[in-house]
Amino acid sequence: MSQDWGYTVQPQQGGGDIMHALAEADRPRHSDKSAGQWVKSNLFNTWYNSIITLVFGALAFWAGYYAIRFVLFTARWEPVSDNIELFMIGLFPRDEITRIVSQFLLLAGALGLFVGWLRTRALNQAHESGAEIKQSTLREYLSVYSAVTLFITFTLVIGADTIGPWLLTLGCIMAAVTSYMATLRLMKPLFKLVLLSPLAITAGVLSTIPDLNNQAAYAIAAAATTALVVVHFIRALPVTLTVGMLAAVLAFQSLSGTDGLAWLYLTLASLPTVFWLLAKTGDRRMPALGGAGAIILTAALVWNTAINSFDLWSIVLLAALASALAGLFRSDPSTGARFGAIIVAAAVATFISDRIGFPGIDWGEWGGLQLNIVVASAAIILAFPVGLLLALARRSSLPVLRYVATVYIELIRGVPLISLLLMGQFFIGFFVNSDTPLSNVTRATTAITMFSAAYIAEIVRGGLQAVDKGQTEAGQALGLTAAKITRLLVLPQALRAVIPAMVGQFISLFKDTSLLSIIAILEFLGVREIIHAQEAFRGFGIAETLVYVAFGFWAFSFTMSRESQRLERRLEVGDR
Amino acid sequence: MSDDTNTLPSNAPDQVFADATQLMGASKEVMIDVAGVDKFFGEFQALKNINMRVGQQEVVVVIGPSGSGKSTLIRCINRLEKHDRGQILVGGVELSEDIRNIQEIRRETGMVFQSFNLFPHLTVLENITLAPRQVRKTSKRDADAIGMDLLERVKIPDQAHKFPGQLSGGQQQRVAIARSLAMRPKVMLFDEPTSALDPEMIKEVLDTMKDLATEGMTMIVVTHEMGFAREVADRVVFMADGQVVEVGTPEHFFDNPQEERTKLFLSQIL
Repeated sequence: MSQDWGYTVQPQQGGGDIMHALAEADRPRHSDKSAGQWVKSNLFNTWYNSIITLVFGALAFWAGYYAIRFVLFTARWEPVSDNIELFMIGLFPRDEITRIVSQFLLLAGALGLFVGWLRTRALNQAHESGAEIKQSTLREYLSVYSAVTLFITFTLVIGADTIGPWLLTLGCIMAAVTSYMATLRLMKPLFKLVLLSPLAITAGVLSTIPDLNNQAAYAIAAAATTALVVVHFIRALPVTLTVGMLAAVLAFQSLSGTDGLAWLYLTLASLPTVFWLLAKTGDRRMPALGGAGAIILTAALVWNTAINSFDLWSIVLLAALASALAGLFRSDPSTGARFGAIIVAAAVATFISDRIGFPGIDWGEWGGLQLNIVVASAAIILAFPVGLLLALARRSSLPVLRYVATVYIELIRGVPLISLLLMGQFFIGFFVNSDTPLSNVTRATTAITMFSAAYIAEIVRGGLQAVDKGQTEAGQALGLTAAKITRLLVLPQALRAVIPAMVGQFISLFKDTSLLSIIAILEFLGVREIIHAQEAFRGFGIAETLVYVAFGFWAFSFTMSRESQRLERRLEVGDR
Repeated sequence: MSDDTNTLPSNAPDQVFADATQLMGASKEVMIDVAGVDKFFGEFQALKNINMRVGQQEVVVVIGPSGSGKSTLIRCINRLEKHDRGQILVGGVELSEDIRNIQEIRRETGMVFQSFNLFPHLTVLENITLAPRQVRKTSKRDADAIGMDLLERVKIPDQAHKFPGQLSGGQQQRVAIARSLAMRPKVMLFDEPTSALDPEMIKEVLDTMKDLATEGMTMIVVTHEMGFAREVADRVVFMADGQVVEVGTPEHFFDNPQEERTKLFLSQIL
């Protein structure tokens, strides 16, 4: 195929290098000037700038003086410091604290794994493209995480009266670092021993809490240790992702218990690894796996039809079986195999979640900042895909989809969240017929999810419209189907473009969880009410508790915003 | 018109064809058959009763003033625009409402755009292997091999793992050509492939296209590069106001144009 094309190409300097050089040249050089010179040329270079500097400098000084005086000297922090547990977890049963501990440790571990996963992926990509990886500097990390660190430190300093919370914080940091290290290629055997530390951390933290049944926590610690060893020695990105997701799911369930959806979480978490294994086994075994899935589906279909007669589930199973078989026997055995693999994974997950079910703490007993974070995370995780689908539906060529999405979005966006929350108390029960009434928190989470999904849909739609039409045309000209053009070409570019707006929406969602107090849920802000109902703090320290709650919301929101900016900068690799 | 035989009698190479439906050279298979095509954008008629046939391995260069419907014509051939009347056949398949026909034609037809339209979030190699993997279900290893082979051909194998944004315009357009070739098309459509390029990069792209023509690819090229038209084209089609005004071999077209409109255009650009 190679032939002489009759010309030689001069090596050209890539546009990227030129842009890099330009950016380099534009970078301001602080080092040229002394501090005095900088002040003179930037703050007092003209008479009006001098006035602005003086006026606003005085204002800032005045505000800063009173703020510092309040925080350090005049404020009475007792209402906060005596009630820090209330602020953090509300009225969560105190003899079930083990669950909170294991939740935090697992979440920290999951975080470490996710960061390691992202980093390894970026490194692999940079290695292939020969591009330099953008290292975040210490300064960047400080600017991102100093707010939340400050909040946690403040909380610990004024609120922790035992060593427990300090140990837990330390344990979380170590769990995150250890999990992160598990994703790295470590040469020294001594370092590899660090992988065993989850056991030590958990044992250490739990030993500070007296009189608790810690068996489950120790079991989780052992599992976590094993998982880290697996992650480290297999060194495959999908496995890391699966273990991270499992840790996150388990963290959630250590509080909520295994509900009816446990099999679904387990299946979803396992998918990266399942597909990875599928790809590893190669084309040869694909039909076998697809066949196994088809057999299980058939068995489930027969079983369900025999026990429950031909109901909705039978139809679902039949449809699944049909598509698996279609994939298996038509053009593309890998579709059938993937389908089969999902079914096999779901079957195994159902079996496991059936065996190791354990009860949770009723939603009504959750509270404090913990609840805000859980509700916000759940709403973000749910609202994102819903919003994405709504945005796609609104741009669909199918009129019914388009109208439904448009009506939904415009209805929801025209209604205040607070009224949705109140309506959720009444209306969701009408739509969802359940023997046990839905909990307050579930209703509220649903309302917030519905609300945010409409806004996210509009944000995503903006991103979709911003993608150049030429991208779609190029995809069409290559013979890609409309679905693949959207999924592989348009969406990735659209989503990347809307990260800032999206994170802004997530931040406002997080802050909106403070509205839950209006429907009698004891969240971070609402905790104040029971604090000031106490004899000792009635009408006392109201400003202090308000400031503390505001500080908490700000710390997390600011961190999210900063982290999104850092993410944007990192994603710039290969953007243009 | 399209129902008659697919092969046409040979014609003397120097003859001027007022009729674009006549083919060049000795009895070649008809690759593209455009018959009586009209296209409207609202009230505006962009194409007026276009008739054109392109034989296998033929290189047809379409020129004309801007707004004359050249781009619209080739965008109709792979259904980036929908024609309103008439019939278009590519490789014997008719462009109809049937999505399967459209997909089949798009698979067999490569297109190169003025603005490259590379996928900025994918590496150069991923840009090229995307369609073979997703449409032809080629395995990653095979697709990568095809991709690297094509990058050799367009002389930039060392850029395989870079992102399009890191490449020069000429390199990007050559990647775009490689991307189209990866589907092993029977026909290549070029929509002003050098118009967005800096002058010093035009040559490398034209050379790539020239070599493609030498290899026997069937090509329709919309361009303002008269040198390329003169050198590479089997036939030149001149369009104005949505109509085919004149068709001929490059020699006849440039040296001995018949129509007033053509003479005017040539006098303006040459």
